[in-house]
Amino acid sequence: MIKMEESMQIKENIGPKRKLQQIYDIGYFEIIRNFKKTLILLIIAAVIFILFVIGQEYQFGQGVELPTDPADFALGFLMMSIDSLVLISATSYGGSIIVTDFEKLTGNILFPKISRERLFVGRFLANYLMNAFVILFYYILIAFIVFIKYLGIPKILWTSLGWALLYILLILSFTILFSSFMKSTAGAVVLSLLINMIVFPIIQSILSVFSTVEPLFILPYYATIITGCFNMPEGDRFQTIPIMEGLDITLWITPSFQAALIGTTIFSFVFLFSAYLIFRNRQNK
Amino acid sequence: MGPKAEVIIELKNLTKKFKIVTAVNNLNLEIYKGEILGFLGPNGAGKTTTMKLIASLLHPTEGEIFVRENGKLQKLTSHNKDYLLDNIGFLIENPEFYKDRTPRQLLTLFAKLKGYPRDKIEDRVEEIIHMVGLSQWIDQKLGTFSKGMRQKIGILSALVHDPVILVLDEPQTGLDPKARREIRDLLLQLKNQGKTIFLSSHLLYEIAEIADRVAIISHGILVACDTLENLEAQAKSSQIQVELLNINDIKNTGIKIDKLIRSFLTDPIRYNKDSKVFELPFDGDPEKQYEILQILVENKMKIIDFTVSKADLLESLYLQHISQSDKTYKEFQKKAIKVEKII
Repeated sequence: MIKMEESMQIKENIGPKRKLQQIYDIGYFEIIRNFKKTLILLIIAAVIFILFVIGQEYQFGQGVELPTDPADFALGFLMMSIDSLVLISATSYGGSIIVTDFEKLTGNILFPKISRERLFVGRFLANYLMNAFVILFYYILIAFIVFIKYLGIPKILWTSLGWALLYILLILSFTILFSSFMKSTAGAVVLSLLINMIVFPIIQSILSVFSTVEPLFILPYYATIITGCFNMPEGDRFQTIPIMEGLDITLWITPSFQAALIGTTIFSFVFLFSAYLIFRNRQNK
Repeated sequence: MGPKAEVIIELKNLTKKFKIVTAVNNLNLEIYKGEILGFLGPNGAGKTTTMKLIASLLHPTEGEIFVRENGKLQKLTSHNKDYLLDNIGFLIENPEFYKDRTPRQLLTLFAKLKGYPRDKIEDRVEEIIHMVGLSQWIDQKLGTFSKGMRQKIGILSALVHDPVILVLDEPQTGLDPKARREIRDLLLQLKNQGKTIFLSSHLLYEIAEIADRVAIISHGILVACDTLENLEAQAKSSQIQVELLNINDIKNTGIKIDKLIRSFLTDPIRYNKDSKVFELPFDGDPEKQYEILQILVENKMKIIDFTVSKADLLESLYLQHISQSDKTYKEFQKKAIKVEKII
């Protein structure tokens, strides 16, 4: 039992300070709770990195020469892996953020200790930070091997990291939207993965034949700037390839800096805000 | 509770409508400091909705909620809810927690969220865990806990920030008798510590054993709220259970008792084969209860038990109020349908 003066101390801890403290506490708890998941994702990132190193060393052993530009060497690590790594980590973090309370009745929804908006903000920030940490770890590994090979790290690698962090925000927000109305974490994760890995690429392929419009509404298109930034601003942003007489296909390589920045920000905001509204009005089963 | 008892929560004309359904209808209720108020009603009566309204999880369609703070009853609004609700600990019906977390981790989080002084959280968590006899489980994962243990942790999660009032929604539902008794003892312990407890339950026995007053709600309307004794007096209906030593002839014994005390009874005597007791329905007047006992003893009836069971009494009062309410509600619905047809 606490005494009266201590009870008054509790009362003093309300207002904006308490709100920020609650967001911090829920975020900290979320990070501890997801420690195993983070560890697994770090291992996955390390395994991908090691496999690439082995592959490259094998190629160098076969007589393939080391690129003269360290940026090209770094790009090799990112080309095949970074969008998938972001997709896997962002969906696995984002999938459970909201639905877990309804699926497992964690006691946070009925008679909660914290309002839904603070719960939402705390969890979102924690999951974004963990996700960013996994991707940062992957970039550090790349920077490490680049430094060993060239005794220097190209600045463009850190620009690429910035775009990767923005892309995480986009995919995480998209998955959180599914988490806000799906019945299970697995459902939210699988649906988000399916749409990003299958549905969007199919739509983009169809559009490349029938339209020259830049696919700014296709989320995976924004991932291309993570590697596309290595060739910008000089590189082409799209290519037109004739496949038969009278029929060309337009392949969009990467969005512009402005389009990527505005597109990811707007989409992320819309997804997060929609997810919050659904979460706020969702009733417990 | 006496007339001078301090009101700690007041619900005034509280109404909650969900589209065409009125879940809570013009509810007026006062909860007094230090009491256990049992909140009874069938499924869908509006118990949980009322509790959600107090917790500010739902907004009332009409009416107001007042919570005592700094000696004054203050209206609960969206601006002061954090401040006022710090006085209250809430528990959901069937608490589930993250299975891979421990009670220490979970209760520490809840205490932090509720702004409990950080340097005292560790001691507080250990103290309350000890109070329910789960000290050796404090660092075990919640996934390994039985339902009764989880329910205790649920109550502790409502209690961890040391609130003045506890609002508990069916804390004993689905528990075995041993766990129910443990929860009951815990609630009495909390009452002795000065906590005010607003408790909903289907388990009439549990309420009868610990509640100072009972409130009965049906179809969203409060149909009764008083002490058991007062409700009994109002209903003019009660029942004495008499157990006799060595009854050879139940029928003749029953006839004999009936002849002796017929003038005191409101209904014929019954014999309960399961509990092996005679049930004597009377109007609940304690004077008459005493006279019945005196007559039976004077006539050398070998009485080994003579009680008015609180649980049975509550059950009979509950059913009486609920059936009356059902009847009124059906009549109201019929009238409403007629009006609708005319329109």
